[in-house]
Amino acid sequence: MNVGDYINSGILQDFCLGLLKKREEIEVEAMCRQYPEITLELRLLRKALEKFAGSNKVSDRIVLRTTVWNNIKKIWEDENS
Amino acid sequence: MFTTDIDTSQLATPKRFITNTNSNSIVLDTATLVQMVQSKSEKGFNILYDNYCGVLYGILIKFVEKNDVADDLLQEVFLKIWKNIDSFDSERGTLFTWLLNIARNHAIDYIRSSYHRNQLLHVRIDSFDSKQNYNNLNDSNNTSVEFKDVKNRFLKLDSKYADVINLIFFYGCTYEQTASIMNLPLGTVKTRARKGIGMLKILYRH
Repeated sequence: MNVGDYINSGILQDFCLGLLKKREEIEVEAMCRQYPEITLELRLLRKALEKFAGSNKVSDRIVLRTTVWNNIKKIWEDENS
Repeated sequence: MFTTDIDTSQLATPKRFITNTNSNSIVLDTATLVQMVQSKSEKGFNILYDNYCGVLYGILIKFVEKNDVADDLLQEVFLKIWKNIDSFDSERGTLFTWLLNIARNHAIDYIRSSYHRNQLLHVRIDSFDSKQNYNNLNDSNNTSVEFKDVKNRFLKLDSKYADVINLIFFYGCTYEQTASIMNLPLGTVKTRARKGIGMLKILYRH
């Protein structure tokens, strides 16, 4: 398996675009576990797409996680109590 | 019922996840993640959020353009994911595609709501609904605000690549649908999408 050929095959771009079938997605996940350079490439491609969307402050959204979680937890508990 | 600590059986392969808070994290085992979220595990939520908040926020901000609105929608999207994770069927598609569709549909629902219609009358979300409408976008008088904004913001990316990525990533078209809308060969669409993302990676490397 040539990692460079795999990276250049286009499957990682298709993964980021959400176009893969289940079998292909599992394959990419397995390749990421095996080859860190594929994981890195996938991160860079996804980050590029996020920035393309204008989501340049996306890292800020991480800090919202606790707030989102607390709100979801409250709503979920209210609805299921 | 919430579980703040997941069952140890769910941690059989914990190293498959990148669990730091880096928004670039990639979920390496979505099947396990789905099980964790289905069990209403807080840890599962955290991993889900860390891995997908960036890309889902990207979809939302692309549609609504306002950070505060996108923040609200992001929370609603995660609530929707949380409530409906049991309906996710891995046989019908990938988790990532399912999440993207929830975000797209939620943003479109918001834009179509009467409130938003009154706020932003100039936004035309149906611009990409047909080949005829797509062709109209090439007429500067008819170009939607949203589409023009993308063109202005990303001058370095040739529109022939940006248009393909827009249709697929933001509007959820398949390669085949994109080829039909743009009246291009399927191979050309695939090449432009993949090459375009590669160019974006270089543009946004720093």
